[in-house]
Amino acid sequence: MPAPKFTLQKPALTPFNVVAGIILAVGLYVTVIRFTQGLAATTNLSDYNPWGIWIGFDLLVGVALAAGGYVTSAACYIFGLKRFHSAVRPAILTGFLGYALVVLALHYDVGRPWRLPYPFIVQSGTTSLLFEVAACVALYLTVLFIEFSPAALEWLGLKRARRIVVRLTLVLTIFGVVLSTLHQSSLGALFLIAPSKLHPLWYSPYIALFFFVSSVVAGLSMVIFESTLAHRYFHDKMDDEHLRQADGVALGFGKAAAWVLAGYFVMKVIGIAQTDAWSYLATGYGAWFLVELLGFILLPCYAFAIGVRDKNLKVIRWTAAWSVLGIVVNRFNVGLIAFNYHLPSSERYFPHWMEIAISLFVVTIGVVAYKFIVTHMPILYSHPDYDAH
Amino acid sequence: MDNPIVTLHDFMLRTESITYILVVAVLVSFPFFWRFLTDRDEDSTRPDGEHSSGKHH
Amino acid sequence: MSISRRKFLGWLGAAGAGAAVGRPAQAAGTARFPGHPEAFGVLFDVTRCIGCRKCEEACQKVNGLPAPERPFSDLTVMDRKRRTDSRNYTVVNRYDHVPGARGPLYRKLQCNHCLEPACASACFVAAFHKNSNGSVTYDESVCVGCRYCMIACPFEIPTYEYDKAFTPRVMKCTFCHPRLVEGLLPGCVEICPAEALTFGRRRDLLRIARERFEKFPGRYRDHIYGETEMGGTAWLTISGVPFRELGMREDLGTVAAPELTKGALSVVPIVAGLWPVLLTGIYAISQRRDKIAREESSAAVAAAVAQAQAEAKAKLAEAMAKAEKEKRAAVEKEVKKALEDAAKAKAQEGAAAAAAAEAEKKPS
Ligand code: SF4
Ligand code: SF4
Ligand code: SF4
Repeated sequence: MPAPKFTLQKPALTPFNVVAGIILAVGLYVTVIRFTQGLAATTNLSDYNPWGIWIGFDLLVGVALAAGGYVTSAACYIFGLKRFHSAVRPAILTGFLGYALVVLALHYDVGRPWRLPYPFIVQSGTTSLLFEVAACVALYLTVLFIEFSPAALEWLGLKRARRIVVRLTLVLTIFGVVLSTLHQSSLGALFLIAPSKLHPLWYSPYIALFFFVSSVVAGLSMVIFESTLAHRYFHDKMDDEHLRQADGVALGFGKAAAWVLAGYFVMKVIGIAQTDAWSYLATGYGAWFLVELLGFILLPCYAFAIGVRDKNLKVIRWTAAWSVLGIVVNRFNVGLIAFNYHLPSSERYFPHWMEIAISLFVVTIGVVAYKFIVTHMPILYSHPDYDAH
Repeated sequence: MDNPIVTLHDFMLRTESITYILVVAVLVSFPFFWRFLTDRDEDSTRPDGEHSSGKHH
Repeated sequence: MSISRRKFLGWLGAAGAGAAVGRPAQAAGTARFPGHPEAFGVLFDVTRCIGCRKCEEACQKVNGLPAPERPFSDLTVMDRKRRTDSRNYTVVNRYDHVPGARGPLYRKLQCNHCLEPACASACFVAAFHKNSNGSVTYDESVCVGCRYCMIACPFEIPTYEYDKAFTPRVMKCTFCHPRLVEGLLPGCVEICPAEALTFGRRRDLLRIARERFEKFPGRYRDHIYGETEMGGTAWLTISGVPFRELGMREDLGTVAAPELTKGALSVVPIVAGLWPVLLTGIYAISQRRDKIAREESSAAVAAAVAQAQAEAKAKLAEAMAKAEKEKRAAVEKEVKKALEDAAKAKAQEGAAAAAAAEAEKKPS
């Protein structure tokens, strides 16, 4: 297995390349099994547990963590916060990669992936929230692709095409926000139809709102988190504007995240009041719910605030990572842990190693693609030929 | 659907399908209307992004 | 069998006639939807079921399902709780030591053919259809295999052929829809030796159940499972013990599945309609704000420049005035000096002339 580096020079045996190579090799192996022997051979899915981590992680978490694209472009282009401009391209890129990988992962999960376009071309089940999710994800992936394309077009030197796309920026941004609002919230609303299966602490008439608001948190935190990583590994690719704005982006986004988390926290508490689920707080699930509520919502909220007040970028960056983890915890809770809470443990789901392998495989493809793109295209810097327009 | 609608599900299938068609129509027509509304403005609050996508100001 | 074949066919005819005459379409969205008026159902009476598994066998036969590993006559398979799976549309479970019951109790489970099926509401290719005969059927030719129907079904009925790589299907009881269309009874109903399964129009079954409640006081609990559960189901169950003792959930509520998602779905047009308006508005405002800021700053610059210019001008004027004054003073001084000089010169001339005249007078 040659190391997955797409550059022309000889692939080096760096630790990254070795690990990525192993994951990709295993992933390809599992892929073959999945598409020749079916879901039973590769997953622990059952009739009680039709959705596993390919939905719980790859879809629910993947979409939430790819929210940076719409959050950042809305801040910059709609709200006119130009000082975040240098953060837009990296966020769009990760958003685009995120959605592309979500769609890729869905091909593994659904029984007949070649029929994925059926809801739009054969028969539409418009009463389904999954229809809304599918439609918005498909459209938004297209939007992100177009939003991302200027970087690729600059790389390829196609000035005319780029100019046309750039003229569409505002329309695309607004479209992106509309579509994101819809499908981020609908991912939560998917569970509205199963009140008897999702634990009352997580089942809420507000679940769609929870998913939407927490996607904003996820988007903001991911932008900080990614930029931290990018600074570490791609510092040399960054231009002055990027470096100059980076701290401001972290501070501004940290402030926004603290504020949105505060709103999210309040809504979660009111959600308990609305469904009168207080008494469940005293149970085991209740303890876990409190861990999520206090440890992964209130704590990052407070920590972001401290970081912003003290202008302590280190605190902000660590908090961003923690808050990203909090989103993962939330999506896992809704999709896997609190779902089917009524079943005896023998009927509960735990992922097969091949499911985990595919999830890792998909993430690795994302990292490798990101690496390739930022080293080749003007993402972390502005292309010198296109400075003014 | 030749039978009259007697279930909420069928009713919603009908109303939601129509709604989605309308939604698509709305989303497509908004940019054009905005353009129509603002294309004589001197200041360029036009949705062509020329002024919003600038990199360096 | 409490329902004769002839009567059954008669019903079918009536259902056809009803459909042909047609009913006025339900208007407005606020209308309550009565469901298919002539729909059939099955009443399962737990107090009658003897746990022979004959229904399982019949179901396997009429639906061409794969033969089981252990024969249907082997009743020990009921030692553990089973559920429907992709090879069994229906299973019978045994419940031992149920308080209030003399011996073991049995419960058959299969699709309940909900009046407002959650599976149908959830499917994003509308693969499920509630037919006018009461059955909820599935169209495998459009199914993508997302398995959201399985998430949605509150009775955990639909199952999936996970072991098939290329043509996995959702599998569930069809209410023997093809047989109903032909005028046959469902396989399981037809074979039941204990008359634990009663086929009929749903509205009649509700009446029959209540009649049994009255006729045998103390034998049943006053609850028809499926009358209101999740908006009501075509298959109904009555029993002498609480349903939860038979592994049936009593906390499902009476809200039909589509009601649960209605609100979330209605957000779509609101967001799609209002978001662009709001966001473009915000954009326009922020642009405007930027523009005003720009204008203000350029106006300030202009003013500053103007002021500077004015000041410079004033200074210049002053300087010029001063220069003028100085010049004039200088000229005046020159003139004065010239006049004085002239006067002086004249005076000197005069003096010289006088001296000359004096000198001419002296030598005589
Ligand atoms: S019981 Fe489940 S599978 Fe059967 S109609 Fe109702 S929701 Fe659908
Ligand atoms: S698995 Fe098939 S039938 Fe079930 S919801 Fe998905 S597409 Fe519809
Ligand atoms: S109605 Fe038909 S498909 Fe359903 S359980 Fe009975 S025999 Fe099986």
